[in-house]
Amino acid sequence: MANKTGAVISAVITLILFVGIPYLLPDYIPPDLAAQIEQSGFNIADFTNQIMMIGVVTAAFTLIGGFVNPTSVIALLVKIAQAGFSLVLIVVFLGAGNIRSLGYTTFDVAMEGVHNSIAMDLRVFVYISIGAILLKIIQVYLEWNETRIEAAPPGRIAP
Amino acid sequence: MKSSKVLGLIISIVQLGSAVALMVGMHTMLGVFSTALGGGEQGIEIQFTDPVTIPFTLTPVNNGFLEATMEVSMKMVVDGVEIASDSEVVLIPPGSVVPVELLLSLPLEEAQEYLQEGTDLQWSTDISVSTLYDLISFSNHMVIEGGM
Repeated sequence: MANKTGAVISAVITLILFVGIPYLLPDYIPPDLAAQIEQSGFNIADFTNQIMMIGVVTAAFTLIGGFVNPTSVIALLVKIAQAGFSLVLIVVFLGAGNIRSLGYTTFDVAMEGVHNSIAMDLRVFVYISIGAILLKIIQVYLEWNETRIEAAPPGRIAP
Repeated sequence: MKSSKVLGLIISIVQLGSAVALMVGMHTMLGVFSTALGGGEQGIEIQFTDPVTIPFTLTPVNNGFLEATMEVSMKMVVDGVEIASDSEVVLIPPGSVVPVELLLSLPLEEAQEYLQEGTDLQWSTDISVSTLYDLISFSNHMVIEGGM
């Protein structure tokens, strides 16, 4: 019961953070600042849409994870998928909405005879995140295995 | 202690460390870059001596916590041909100001030919700031048409 309540609360918080706030955010950006951001080639709507999509999927996984048997294979797969989506979220953030850039973001701005090309290289953090998520997957598997062993009746080895 | 808990602790330390490194690195990098440009107002004052010289001074300030490396290069291009250029690389320790002085120089005869209306003149600048042991960088390539 505690697992289910926790999952619902986590899912709601995830929805508020990654769907509610990004949905409302564009309305709170001053119009001149929003125009400057758009001029720099950064698509705010596209960025917030990606964050909201990841938020919905993560919340759904959180909810499913809380309602399935923690020793089942589905529980393991859901937790691995959650870890995978957290990596996607990091890559989207570091790439300023461009997931394919993998942390190497470029913007081109041309106005009044001035052409500006800006490049930001944050790939090292994507590599660190990939490493951390791979470790997370191993951790999820170990946790799942430990849960199965604990749930097995005394004297029985979990299949 | 269970192996999954140990691994969880290691993951938390890695994630926390990389989040701190990202914030500190961005603070240093963007701080140095924005102060180097001095609000984007960099006047071009041509000194008509022989040779003609065009000095540029940038004053990057490192208010961050990490050492930063700044590479600056400036080129004067006429009809697609580079006629003058200069570049410099400076190391900027935390809490320091390291002025960068570039000087474009070209013979008076060439300057009189190129620095007149109708020529396809471009000023090309490259500013790159890297930090966190050169693992992250921010670079800006700017081309200004004419500018005279």
